[in-house]
Amino acid sequence: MLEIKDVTVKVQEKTILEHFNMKIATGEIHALMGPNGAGKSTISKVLMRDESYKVVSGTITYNKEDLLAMDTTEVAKKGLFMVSQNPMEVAGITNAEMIRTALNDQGKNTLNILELNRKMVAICEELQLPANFVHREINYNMSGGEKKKNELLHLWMLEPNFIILDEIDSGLDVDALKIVADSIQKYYQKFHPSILIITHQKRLLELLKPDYVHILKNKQIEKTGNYELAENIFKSGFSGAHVMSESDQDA
Amino acid sequence: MIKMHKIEVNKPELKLENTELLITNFKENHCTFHIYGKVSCGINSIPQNASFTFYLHDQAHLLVEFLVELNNTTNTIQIYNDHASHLDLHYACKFSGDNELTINNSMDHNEANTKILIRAVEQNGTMSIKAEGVIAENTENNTYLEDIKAITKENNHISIKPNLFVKTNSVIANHNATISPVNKEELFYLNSKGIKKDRAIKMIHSGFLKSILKINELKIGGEE
Repeated sequence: MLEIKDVTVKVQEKTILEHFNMKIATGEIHALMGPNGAGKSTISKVLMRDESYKVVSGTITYNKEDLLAMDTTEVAKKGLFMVSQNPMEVAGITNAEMIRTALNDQGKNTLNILELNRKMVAICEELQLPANFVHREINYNMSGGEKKKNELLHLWMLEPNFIILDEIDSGLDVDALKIVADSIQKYYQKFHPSILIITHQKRLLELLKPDYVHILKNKQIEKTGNYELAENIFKSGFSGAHVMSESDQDA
Repeated sequence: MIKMHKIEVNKPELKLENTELLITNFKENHCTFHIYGKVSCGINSIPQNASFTFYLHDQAHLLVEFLVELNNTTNTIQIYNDHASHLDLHYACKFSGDNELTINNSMDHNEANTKILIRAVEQNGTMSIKAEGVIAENTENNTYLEDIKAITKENNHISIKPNLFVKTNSVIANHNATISPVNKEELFYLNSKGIKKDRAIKMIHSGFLKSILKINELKIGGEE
């Protein structure tokens, strides 16, 4: 269970989130929507403990442990994993090196190099990526779609239990979006992680069917509902959706 | 990736023709290389006071890559390009102590190509890099590119002087230099995958150096 209580976040003295609250139980899928610049990506950076985002008040706990007392590495070790809208390119470090090191540092590496490589190749096949992606430099010289699939390769290898998808659907064509969504669905069916989806688009939500949908506006959650709220947002925009949704729930 | 055979250099002059080799050690401080045809050469270790001269003869094509650890080292590299020769010089180094790297390239023939990439990572020390390209008068259709990047703990631990003397109108020439600390976004990214800070910094350093290299056999000290 992730619990964000009354959190205020500043970046370079500018307040981005104020009295922000959210609860995500184990195995739940939540969608966070809102106008551009509302601070949706901020919450993903805060959860991953990016030092540029200062939490000036409030608490965040994950499985009753204080997330704000942890650094990024510790948060990742607890099982949080983020796919950002523009995954970082890291030249000179291959996927295989990074995954092997991450598994070792997290104390989760039970496979030898050959077995790890075999597992990565099998995942590449599932994601319709060439097998040589195992030894490609991280996201380097990859297309937008390849980068997102490459991040899913990391996801399947690191097996996190809380996934943040920050506009994973941006820049994906219809076919790539289907592969990405199918892969996340399969992962969900196998491991039942919690998922926080940050998106502007309908298609990913149609495929993943979130349990709860939140609208972030004016620095806090302004409305929470079920999937119907997302449908209303697509019909009437963020303002109209407030009136139309009748099945709001507190998350 | 290129695969090559390993040698130790024990004489001051070497003629290399259509070959691929990895130099693991130099017995002499100075070595002059005469390059003919297509040559790939990896260098994994240099003497503390090293001086190399590369003569690229008519239409020669040389890929020379350094992956070296410098510790109170002075390294001078002189390059001469003959007609239509092609040079890719990739120099990747970690440095500690006080070090100097000087690269001089005289282009006084036509249709030659030089591309010099330098990547330097500070361990604990200082480094001075001087890269000087001279494109002579009355030459035509030469290309000269110089790209120098360094990761340091403090900006004043490194000095880069990229000088370019262009004495003709018929050349494509550019150079640039960047000095910065470890990229915080890369560090955050690797930490967010669960990699500890110290190890992530080592990986970024190593990746930064390897990113310009094509020769697989070149290893950074301590690598398997």
